Amino acid sequence: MIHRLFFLLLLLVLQACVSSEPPPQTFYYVLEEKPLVYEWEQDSQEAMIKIAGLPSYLLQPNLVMLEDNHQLYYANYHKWANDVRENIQHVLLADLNSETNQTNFVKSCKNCIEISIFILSFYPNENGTVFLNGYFEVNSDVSNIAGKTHLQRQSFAVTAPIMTPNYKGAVSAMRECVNKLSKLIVKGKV
Amino acid sequence: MNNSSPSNASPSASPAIVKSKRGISWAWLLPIIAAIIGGVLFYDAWSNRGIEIVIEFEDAEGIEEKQTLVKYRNVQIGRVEQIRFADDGESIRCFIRIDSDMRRFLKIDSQFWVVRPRIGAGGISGVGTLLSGAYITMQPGEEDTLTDAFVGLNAPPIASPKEAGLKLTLVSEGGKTLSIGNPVLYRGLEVGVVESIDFGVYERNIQYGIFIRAPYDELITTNTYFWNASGVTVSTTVDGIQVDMASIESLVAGGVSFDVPNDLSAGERVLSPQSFVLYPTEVATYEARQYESLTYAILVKNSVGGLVAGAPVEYRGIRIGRVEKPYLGFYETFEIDPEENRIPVIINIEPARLTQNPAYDLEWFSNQFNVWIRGGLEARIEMANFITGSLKVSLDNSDIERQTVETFGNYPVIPFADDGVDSILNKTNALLSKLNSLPLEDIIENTNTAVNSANTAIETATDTLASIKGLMTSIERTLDEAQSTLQTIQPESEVHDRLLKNLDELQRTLMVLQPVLSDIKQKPNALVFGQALPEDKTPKAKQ
Repeated sequence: MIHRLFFLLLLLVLQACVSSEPPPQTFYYVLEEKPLVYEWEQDSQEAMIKIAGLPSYLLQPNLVMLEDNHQLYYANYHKWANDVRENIQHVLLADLNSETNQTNFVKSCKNCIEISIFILSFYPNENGTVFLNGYFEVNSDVSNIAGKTHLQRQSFAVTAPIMTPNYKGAVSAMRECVNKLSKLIVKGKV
Repeated sequence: MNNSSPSNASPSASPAIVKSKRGISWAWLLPIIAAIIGGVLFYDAWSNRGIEIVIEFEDAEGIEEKQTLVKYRNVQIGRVEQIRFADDGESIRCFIRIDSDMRRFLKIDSQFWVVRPRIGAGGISGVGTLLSGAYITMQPGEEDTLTDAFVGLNAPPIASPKEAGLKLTLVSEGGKTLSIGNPVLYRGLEVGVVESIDFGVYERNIQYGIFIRAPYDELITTNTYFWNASGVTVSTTVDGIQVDMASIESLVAGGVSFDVPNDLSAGERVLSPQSFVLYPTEVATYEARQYESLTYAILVKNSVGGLVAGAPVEYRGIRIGRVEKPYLGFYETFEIDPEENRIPVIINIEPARLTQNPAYDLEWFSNQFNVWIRGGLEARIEMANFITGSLKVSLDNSDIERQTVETFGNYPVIPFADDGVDSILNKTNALLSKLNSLPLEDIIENTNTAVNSANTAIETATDTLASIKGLMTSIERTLDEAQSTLQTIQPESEVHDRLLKNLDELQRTLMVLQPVLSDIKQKPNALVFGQALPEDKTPKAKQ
């Protein structure tokens, strides 16, 4: 009797597996980094770019969208392909180095200018706009003759419109926001 | 019918004589017999109800009406009937019914006391009454007079009144006190007991009443000395260190020992109660013993600091007396001789310490001392104990003869040895002689050997230091390696960066898992059946 009951339950479980619908396709996104060849001047200074702060929803792989009712919607089938922190850092380095050749922006260096970027919010909203705001700190202790640390802080808030009504369009707008940020950094630092 | 009427009866019939029957009915026999038996029983009970006696105690601790028994040699002889306060309220009276046949023991000097658990110098007694309860016991007296009123004892009598022996009084000036029940020992054997303790307020001393049981009372003579045996005496003899202890019991609880000192004759037997001095130790029976003495004065030019009353007076190391007064009072000295600036030291010469021969009495010794003084006898103040700094008086002969014996007041004077330059020279010569006799060559040779040994030890120490130096180098190298190892995990090192990266990965993984765990928490079967998620909302395009 027990054997029959066990067999019946196993059959029920297998039937459930067979009868469930296949999930929708999952899409993965990256902030596109255009391959560029940089040429720096010999006496160019170095500056280190560090993403020092990120909101918690960018530390997980699901893409998010801000709804009208102040709710943050987590997409189930649209995910980041890479670590967002590294992705933003790489893209930003590429944009910065393409903006100017007077400063060599690198991932890490010693005794160089240190630019720490704190991103407070970075999301598309339901109505077709991507917001990127926060602040960055420039720690230029090398250039200080007195040997004292010179800290410069500057906030930023950039937006970009979503051109196509989907997550692909949202990621493109986010990429555009990062590019605008790179311009602000070059403008504020260099 | 009428024929048979009374008219036909014989006229000669006389009237009936009615005799009244007088006497005791047999029915009374039974009550009379019962009354007689009852009377006999009542008389028997009344005659055997016992004797009522009254014992007065300080308190009624452990005594209960109708309960507490009276025993003699552990046989019940009575029972406490009533307990009442005495008229003055300072004591209680126990009304006790004693068996009639015990009447002969109720003598005027009989003693009663309550047996209850007691802890005393003699040990623990009356333990059995813990379960059975206290009872009253008695010790019949010797007198012929009978009585029915007694005064109970607070504690059991130490010695039986009937016991043969000798009662003595020991007078102590102080020291360790004794307790009632402490044993009296003769060479370790218990021969008596301390019966009572009194303090003489006027005499300012303690008087112990002791009882020496027969036949040991024959040991008590006029030359018997008593001492307190409560403790251990440690003395040094030619055989080494000697420890004297009377018994464990006397060591813990205290006790008295007595004996006739070796330097005295046995003396005459003591037959009646007398007083003896109780000395603090056995040694004191020799040292502090009171002898007949001759008194002399020594006029000391030096300091007498350290000289105390009782300090020994010796003749070439033989004790012959004691210091009576280390210095005579200023007033007394001034009265005798106002110009005298020497310090008069009063000493007692005790000839009995030297001989017990009655032929050499005080007078003989007095005359002889005068001869010796004229022949050059002198006194010195010498060190008796180098540790305590105490002094003694030492007598010795000199070559200085004198015509007369000087006196100071009533005291004959023993001349004081002038420890002047000659004495210092003599002492210096003696010291040089001792130095000369020292084996200096042997000492130097031994010193050289010791120095050589020290050199060897220093060489060994040098080798050890070299080994320690090598060890320190090794430790230093190890510390360098440890430091370089620690540098690899410093903030800017590759290991540190990798560690941070791994931590970031871990944090990210946990955040990915968080919605999955949340889903499983809300729907546990999601792991098996899966969960069909709805299609995503999509952002709109900017108009």
